Amino acid sequence: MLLEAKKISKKFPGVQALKDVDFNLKAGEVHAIIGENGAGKSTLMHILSGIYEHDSGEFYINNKLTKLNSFQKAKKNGISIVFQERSLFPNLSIEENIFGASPPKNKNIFFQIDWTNLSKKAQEYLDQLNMTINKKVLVGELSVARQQMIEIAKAISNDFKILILDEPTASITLQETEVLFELINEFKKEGRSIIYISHRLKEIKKIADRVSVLKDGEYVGTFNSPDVDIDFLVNKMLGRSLENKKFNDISSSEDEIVLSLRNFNGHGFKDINLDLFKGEILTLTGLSGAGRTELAYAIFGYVPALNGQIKIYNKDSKINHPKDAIANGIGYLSENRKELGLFIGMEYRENIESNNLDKFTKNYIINWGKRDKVSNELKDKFDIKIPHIQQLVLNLSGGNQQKVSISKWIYANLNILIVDEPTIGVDVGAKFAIYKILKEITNNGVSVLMISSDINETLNISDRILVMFDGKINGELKSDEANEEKILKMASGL
Amino acid sequence: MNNILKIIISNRTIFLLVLMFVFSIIATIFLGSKFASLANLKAVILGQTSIAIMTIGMMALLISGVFDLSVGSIFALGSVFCGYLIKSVGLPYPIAMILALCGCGLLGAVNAFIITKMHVNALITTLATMGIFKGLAIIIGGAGIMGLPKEFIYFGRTDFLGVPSPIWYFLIILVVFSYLFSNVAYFRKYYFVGGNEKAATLSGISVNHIRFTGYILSGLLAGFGGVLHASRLGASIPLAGSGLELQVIAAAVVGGASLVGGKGTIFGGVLGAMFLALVFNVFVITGVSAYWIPVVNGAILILAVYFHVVFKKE
Ligand SMILES: Nc1ncnc2c1ncn2[C@@H]1O[C@H](COP(=O)(O)OP(=O)(O)OP(=O)(O)O)[C@@H](O)[C@H]1O
Ligand SMILES: [Mg+2]
Repeated sequence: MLLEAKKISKKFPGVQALKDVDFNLKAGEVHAIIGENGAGKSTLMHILSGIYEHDSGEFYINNKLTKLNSFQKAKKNGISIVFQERSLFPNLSIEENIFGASPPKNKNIFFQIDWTNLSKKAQEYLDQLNMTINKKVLVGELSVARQQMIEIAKAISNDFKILILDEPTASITLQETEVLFELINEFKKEGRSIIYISHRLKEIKKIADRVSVLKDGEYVGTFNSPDVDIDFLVNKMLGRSLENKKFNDISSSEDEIVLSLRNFNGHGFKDINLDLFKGEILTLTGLSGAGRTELAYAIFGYVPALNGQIKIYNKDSKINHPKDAIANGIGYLSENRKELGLFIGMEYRENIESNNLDKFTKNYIINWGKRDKVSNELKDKFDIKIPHIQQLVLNLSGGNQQKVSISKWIYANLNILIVDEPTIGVDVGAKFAIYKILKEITNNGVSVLMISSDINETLNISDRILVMFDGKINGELKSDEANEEKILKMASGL
Repeated sequence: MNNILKIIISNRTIFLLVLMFVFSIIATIFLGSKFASLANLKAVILGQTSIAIMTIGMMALLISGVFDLSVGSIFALGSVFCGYLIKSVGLPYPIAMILALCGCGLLGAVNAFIITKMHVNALITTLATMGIFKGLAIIIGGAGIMGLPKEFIYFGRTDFLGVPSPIWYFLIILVVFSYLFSNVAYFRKYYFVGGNEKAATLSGISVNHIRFTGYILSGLLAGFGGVLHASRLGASIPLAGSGLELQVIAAAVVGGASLVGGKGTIFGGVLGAMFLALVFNVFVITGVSAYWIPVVNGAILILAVYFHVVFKKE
């Protein structure tokens, strides 16, 4: 065995994140780890890469007892990781980010960074990932998907034996996923190993050799991927099976337009004409860089549009700030929960409060009891795994953070909800629950404009689909005529 | 035992109360009734009222993720405005006071304007206005405006129920602001802006609005500190505000503010100010030179941040 972890345990205040978990990894294999949100997957990876200390248990590398008690040590043992949460420096360029704290040094002059070499090597990694991009651009200016690819470039720039990918595809599009999978297969051929975490079980069937399942911090089992099917895995993860429901029961009425854009132009998108009907889920799909998030920013007033007309309930509207949008009944759930969506350093209940202050306020005074009651209700409704409502959001697992993001916007109960990649990092069970809730609110007359790169999600719950390419809407599909092939064609400009 | 210790450490208000209690006991053991007397307690609080009032304003800003280095200079201008309007313009003192306060609120608005509309960061802006406002105070006030009228002095020197008037003013401000920042929806937004400016914007909160009200409040409170100072002294001294920003920021940080925002309470900030006052009181009693005050102030500021970092790791 290349790596063996035996009886690993880890406790956080109020949570037993891992309990006697076993895990092993062969050379040249892709080993997937799956489990519900909060099952302990990321915690195990943090321990493997020396970020967290574990309470008990042992690691063997090539059958030798090894201590992985610091990031440097893990790195020396050939472990490289792409974290679930991005960890780049937005103020530095792409090439600087790829090498992080250990840029190539000049041999002749002490401590001097070898910029030419750095540039050249960075280009090699970008080429491997099939990215055509100016590597002098600051990372902060990139889309979430691009940033995720830079994370991957950074991880493979280490000379690794074990590459840990914690939900690498959560925020990238199909095109990039293909590139990543090719790369993974190459690494396999070189005898390098991959630990792969994802909530997309189809991906796992495609790429993994073996699958280990965690549930509530405990080890459930390890299975050969070809021997098992997706239903089996779901069952192991959740302890129950999911009903196989499609959500395409159309609830919209095509007679009432709630939001309409005409000749709408802005940074990243152009000539957008779009009507959103009452009670429908309209999905904007496309590849990364197609301009979907930029369009949402403009509708919501976060980045003002350049020109064009926006009508809400048939009334010409001026939206210069998100507060105008909210006053007009529009909400926006960001795809970037850590930087734009949540107040990571604040309590869970405060996050619920953040965009719902008016709902908890009477005569300018806040009703704390109501806030706490609602926070508890949302926690149950969205199955947010959290020991108490005062917990800081930064201590939640990624998927649970995403649930917090969604729940606070669902509770806001606005007429028009723009949801940007609403289920990033959410497990299959919770995804199902979220789809149900989205359908429920549309049945009650709320209109949802969804941005999604998840093709199954798009096909599953949309009433209509708009495919964007290069800043423009390239075509429209009704839910009954849409399929993967058509969408991909339109998304690549055909 | 361990649990009690954890609670004390994790709640800044309780921590400070315990710290002040322990400090007072030790001081009493060594200094006896020179320290532990009602007269001394009154003197400690009275001496720190201006700082405590200014700390309330600074706390509001720090909660929302910014700060104001110009408070000492606004303090000076508040005092000088007031003296000038009474002495040279001949306005009745209540009107002079109100105008002086409006002026100081306006100075705060100037800070906010530069920061939000001209996009200069808070450090540079308030560092620059610290110099500008101080210069203006000296230009208007010269070496000082002496011999302010008796009625004006009465404002800061009268007693009510045996308690000096500045302590009353301070208590009223404390109660009002504590209430605002813990229960009123608008002021809750300060915490969200401090917690994550972008997420706050996307939650429909106008960050610029919060910046304006924050700096105006800070300016008003600093100006009031200055007016009060002039009233107690019977004179407006332009240099009296020098270095106050250090004391005020130190008090706020000791009181639980974090320089990245989103944390702290008004009451905590006031406790921070009072803790510093106790320490300096011991200096005065033991006859240590007042020149040591900034030294100790700075050291306490660093220690407060250091402990914050250490406790967070625990
Ligand atoms: N720093 C922390 N402090 C307290 N609790 C934590 C901390 N980090 C993780 N936890 C808790 O440990 C449990 C496991 O979290 P972990 O992030 O490993 O889950 P995960 O399997 O990666 O979930 P997801 O699919 O949502 O990413 C969760 O209940 C989480 O709330
Ligand atoms: Mg995780």
